[in-house]
Amino acid sequence: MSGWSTLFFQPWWLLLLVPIMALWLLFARVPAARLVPSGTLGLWKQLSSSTSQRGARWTLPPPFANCLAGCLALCALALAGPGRAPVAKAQATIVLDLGPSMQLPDGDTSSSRTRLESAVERAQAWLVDRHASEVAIWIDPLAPGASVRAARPPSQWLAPGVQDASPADWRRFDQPGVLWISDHVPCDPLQAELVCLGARAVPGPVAVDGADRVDWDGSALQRQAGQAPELWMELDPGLGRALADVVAHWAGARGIQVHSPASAPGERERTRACLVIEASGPATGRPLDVTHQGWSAPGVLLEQSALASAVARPRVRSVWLQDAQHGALVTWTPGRIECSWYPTKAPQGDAGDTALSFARLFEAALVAPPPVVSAHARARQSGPSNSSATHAGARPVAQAERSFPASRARASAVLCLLAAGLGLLGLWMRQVPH
Amino acid sequence: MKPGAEKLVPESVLAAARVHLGRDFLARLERHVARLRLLGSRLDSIGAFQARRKGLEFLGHRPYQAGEDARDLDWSLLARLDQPFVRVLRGQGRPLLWMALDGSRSMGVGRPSKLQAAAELATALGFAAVSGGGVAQLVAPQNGARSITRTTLGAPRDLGPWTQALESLDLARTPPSWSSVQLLEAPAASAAQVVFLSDLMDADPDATALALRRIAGRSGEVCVVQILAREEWDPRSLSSAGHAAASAWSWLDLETREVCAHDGSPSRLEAYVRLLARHRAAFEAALARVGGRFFSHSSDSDFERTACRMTSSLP
Repeated sequence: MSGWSTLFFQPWWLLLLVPIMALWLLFARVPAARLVPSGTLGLWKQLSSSTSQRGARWTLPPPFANCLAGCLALCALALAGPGRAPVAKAQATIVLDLGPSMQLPDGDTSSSRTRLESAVERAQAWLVDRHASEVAIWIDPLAPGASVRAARPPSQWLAPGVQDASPADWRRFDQPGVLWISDHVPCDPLQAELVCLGARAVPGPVAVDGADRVDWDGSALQRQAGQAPELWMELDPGLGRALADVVAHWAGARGIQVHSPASAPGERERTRACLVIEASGPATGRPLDVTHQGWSAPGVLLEQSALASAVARPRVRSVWLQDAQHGALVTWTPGRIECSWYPTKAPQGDAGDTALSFARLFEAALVAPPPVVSAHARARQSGPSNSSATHAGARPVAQAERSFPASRARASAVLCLLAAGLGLLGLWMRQVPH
Repeated sequence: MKPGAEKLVPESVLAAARVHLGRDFLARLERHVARLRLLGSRLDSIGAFQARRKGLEFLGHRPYQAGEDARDLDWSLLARLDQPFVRVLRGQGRPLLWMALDGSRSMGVGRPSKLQAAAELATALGFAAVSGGGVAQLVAPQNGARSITRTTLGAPRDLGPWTQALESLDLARTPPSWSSVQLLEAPAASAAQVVFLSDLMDADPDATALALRRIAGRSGEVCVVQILAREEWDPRSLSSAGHAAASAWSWLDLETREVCAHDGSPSRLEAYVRLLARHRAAFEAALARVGGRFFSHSSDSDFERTACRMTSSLP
């Protein structure tokens, strides 16, 4: 029926064609024989034996039956709303919550499905229900301006990885034809549609403190000594030895292992790194001396090419180090630090200021690996709900598609006129004897 | 009965096919005979003069048939009308019109039934014969064809018992296997004219013609009247008679209860008409071989027309 939906607005009305066809066939069938007494049956029997007329007893229906059947069929077509849709497949936009709580299990604790997986299924069902395209524009609310047009969101979005703690600006996507889908109600939409999966409290790890893990048991926090998951970070070796020494000092103090991309556990596991420090591009060879937060160091500029990780999941980057002439030199997003400059020598200045400066950057960008989820996200509870846009001007894409286009109204009107003409002709033929 | 066909009980059809010769029919009969007398006065005035010259009683005229003695021709009438007629003279007794009326179940077909039409026609022929000085005798099955009865019409006063005998015919009591040919096996006196009223559907043309010639003798005239219902003569008449569609009927044999579905194709209708014409032509040829004549009659047409065609040859 989905194919018919491109030709008819309400294709289920086409089911009326079945009884109409049945009625027409009833007229086509030779009616029940009227018995007529005859004394010449012998002659008829001779004809029966000489001609093979004993086949299916079908004939063309009378003209009035054709007219009336055509009238009814046209009525059914008119009800179905003929005409190709101006936009055969409405493009839907889905804003998918990728917050840490979406990685929590959906439903009871025995379920292996995450809320994110359920959200994707619900979103795809919404697309089918609203006769929208199977391909949607997927938006990560934490990455405004970046979108993916696909049948499903990218796998990087769905894989359990670093947990962004930064709040998303949902209001930015409060537009007609947009579906929000989350496990909670981020804010009341005015024009967008909202599917709230609902959430329940899920006890579990909420933080890592050194070698200890902090769990939330549903009512209180419990420190689990020595239970911290193995933390590791990834450092691009192209960023120079001086930065590697700073990182090594900080990571060692935090109990984090440092790997290079080549020695990382694997591409699939990269998302599980609690911190990734990567170069924005190859070195340009241009030197640049930098002074920042009480330290200074000579360094080299890197090309600012778009990183694959940034394209896949762009974020609002916070600037940690910048230059008036070259702009942002070091930016970070949760779990990732992007460097367009690196020191070629160890930073000079007060050692404490230097350590604090770099530690603030690393700590800000550091995220907890799965299954650590913030206590706020684990404790969140909300019921499932759906809401449609209530704003007067709201016209979601699905509903816009549901509206009856003027072209289809004209086509239906023409069909109705033809049906009326055929109906009158049929009735007239029925009344007038042959 | 085939599925889809409406229920029709042959007995109810046969019960409705009883003969009824009411006042209306008798009035029509009197008008018909009056017209015959008017016609007969012109014809007989010539023949009676010539008969008296021969010392014989002149009874009337009948059309000349090939092979007859030319001396019996009424030359005076031929000169006036330009048509050959033979004088019919009375010898020692009154000429006999012997009629056999088919009482098989198939005669219940039609509205009015073929039996009704046959009875009206037989009565008209017999009454005309009596009016011409002859005697009419009707042979018909009676009491369910277990016996064959003869009803005689020798004078107008005999019309009551005559009609009563006809109205007592009950086709529902006729065995399905009964054939009207059995009537022709009944012994009969030598008749001036023999008339067989039947639909001829269970009769062999040559056997029927020879049996009638045997009854009529060498000099008697043989006539066969094939009576069929309108839908039997032309099944296409059913379409114009208000039936829904030309293909919406099946034929029911009242004798065997057999049903023959009709597909309504025009080619089949044409084939039936051709087959019926061949059937009729076979009887005409058989009768021609024994010097007989063939008439056809539709059960829904007036008896006067066919009777007029036949009466001119009656004694």
